[in-house]
Amino acid sequence: MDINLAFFVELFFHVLGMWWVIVPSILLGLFVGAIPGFSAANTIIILLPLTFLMEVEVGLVFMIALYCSSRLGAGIPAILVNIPGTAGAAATPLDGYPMAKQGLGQRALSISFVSSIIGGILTTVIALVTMPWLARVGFYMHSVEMIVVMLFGISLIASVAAKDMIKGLIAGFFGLMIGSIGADHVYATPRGTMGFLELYDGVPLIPALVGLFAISEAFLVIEKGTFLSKTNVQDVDNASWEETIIGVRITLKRWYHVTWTSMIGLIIGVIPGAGAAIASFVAYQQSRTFSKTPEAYGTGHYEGLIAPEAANNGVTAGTLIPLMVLGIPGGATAAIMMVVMQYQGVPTGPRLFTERPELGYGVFMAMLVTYLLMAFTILPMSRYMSRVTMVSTTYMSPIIIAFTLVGSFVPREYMFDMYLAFAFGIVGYIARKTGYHVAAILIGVILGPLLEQYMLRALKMSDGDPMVLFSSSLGNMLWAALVITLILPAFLKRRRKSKAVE
Amino acid sequence: MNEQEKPISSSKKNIAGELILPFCALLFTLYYFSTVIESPWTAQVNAFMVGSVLIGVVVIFFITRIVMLLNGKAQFHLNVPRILSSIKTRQSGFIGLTIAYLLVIESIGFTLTTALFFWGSMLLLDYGKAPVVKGALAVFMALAAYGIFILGFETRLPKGVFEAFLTGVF
Repeated sequence: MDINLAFFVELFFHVLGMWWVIVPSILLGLFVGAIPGFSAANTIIILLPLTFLMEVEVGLVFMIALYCSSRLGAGIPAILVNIPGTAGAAATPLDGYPMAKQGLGQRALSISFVSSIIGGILTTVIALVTMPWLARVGFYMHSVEMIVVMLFGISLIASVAAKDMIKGLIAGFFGLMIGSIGADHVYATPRGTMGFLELYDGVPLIPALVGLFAISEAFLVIEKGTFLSKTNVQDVDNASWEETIIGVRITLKRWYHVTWTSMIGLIIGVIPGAGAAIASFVAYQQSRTFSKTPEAYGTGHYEGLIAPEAANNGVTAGTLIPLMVLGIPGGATAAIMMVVMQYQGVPTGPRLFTERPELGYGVFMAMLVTYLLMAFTILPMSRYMSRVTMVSTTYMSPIIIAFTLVGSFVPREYMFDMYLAFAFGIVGYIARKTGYHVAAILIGVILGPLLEQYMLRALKMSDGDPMVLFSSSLGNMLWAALVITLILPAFLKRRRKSKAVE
Repeated sequence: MNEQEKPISSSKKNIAGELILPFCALLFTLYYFSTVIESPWTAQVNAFMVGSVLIGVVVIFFITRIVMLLNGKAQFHLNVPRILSSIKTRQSGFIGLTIAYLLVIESIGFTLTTALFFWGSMLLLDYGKAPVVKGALAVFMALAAYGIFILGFETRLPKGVFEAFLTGVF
């Protein structure tokens, strides 16, 4: 079979013909993505028997559509009510929620959708073209390089803490300590578990996520009675379709920003074990570093919303590359796809592209078609979705509490995780009442265990010699880039000040 | 996001609240150290690296606050009457209901507890207005949650009388 333009055009229309699978999957994905604890992976697992009954290409299209749309869906509650649906959307509320609180929820959703869709389409097309080369990225990323990538994400703590550095550092390092709870990776010694067996595997992310953001938010908003002030309620009520169009225009105007932040997502997505959370934190941090208005980040800045959303949707294409090209699943959803493909007798890795190219390339084509169809299905919804912020907290707070507690129960099905979510809710409530940033705690909880894992691996290989951290050329280049991105904001600020004085 | 504690009196900032988190962080770090003190180095290295930085930052924070106190720029004031009065607010009641929800969900079951939690919370937050309407809404939402989570996604949420009844019927 010749792989040329005609092949891709034919494949595109063939996949487009499966809209009857894609559209319902998009709606299901948006729904499960928006509920914390429910992910594309566990929905696919639940529907696995159904997937086995489908033809292999229909099954794959269904899984891809669900995967992409759930990634996008996770940003919706993050923007409207400060509840990230997944860890990958944890950086979205930093600027999305302040926009919603200003009565600009519809515009924020529109920006989020368009940057996700453009980011998704762009990275899918790039993935299609550069698959064989991108797949090798994972081979070059060893423990040392991964440590630096983690530090790129962790350096976001300093940005989040910009207004009060010392409090931000306390929150961030407290998060890193909480993230260190659990058995150590080599001898399985329990550390800081307070005797709870449920913490031996480490602190589960969903209870931390929903507790710090959602439960603390539910307790806080009842003080105010509503998510919005009276003027902002009127703004939301009077908002027309124009708000959505303004959001589209704002994002398209920043096409360059969408492009490079989604590329960060694609590259991080290719690395097995990394993921949307790291990608969105790194993209947000880099976006802020190179911004001309870094001080506007965290106040409802458009670029602060575009960066994590474009990046976490860029991850979707990246995660599938190692599976398709090398037969190595890059994430949970990719692993389930591999199971389905093996069950159906479809090879993965290089053989897939020689024996079944319509499936190998078809997976990425399905991703492209899903993002295109999402533009037509989800964008018009932004107007109605934004009205969630107008619902009285009398109804919203109990719903947030009950549904997020259920969400924290779902991944492991332990009652303990519900109690843990509540405990994190109290920590988040105290933190926010006393001027600490919960996002800094969460960054520590998410990235801390990963950093430790790679650090230990590197140190074990070098018999404890810390100089191993500077032993690889790529690692040293990344170290240099990290130092530059840490110094650059201060340098640029100084330059701007001196220019202003002149 | 920064709902900083308001000063209690005059222009002096009350620092009592903002000491809670660093104090908890310090206690937790010391406890964590105690759990790894006799462990192999692989279990200690991260804890001592991160923990020592955290302790250092907390100490600096405490010093800055002490300096603020000594310079008269801040005050340390545990406003007990205010804390006691806040216990009567709807917020404290809502937190109490959440704790009750977590405590009884295992014995009563997800659907019934959720319905009671919705009803109780909505009544509390809306000063007891329209109890029948809120009751109907609570039952509807709890049933919807049962349909979505237990029937739809087959989540093994705690089962009780209601779930047993439905299983018996169908």
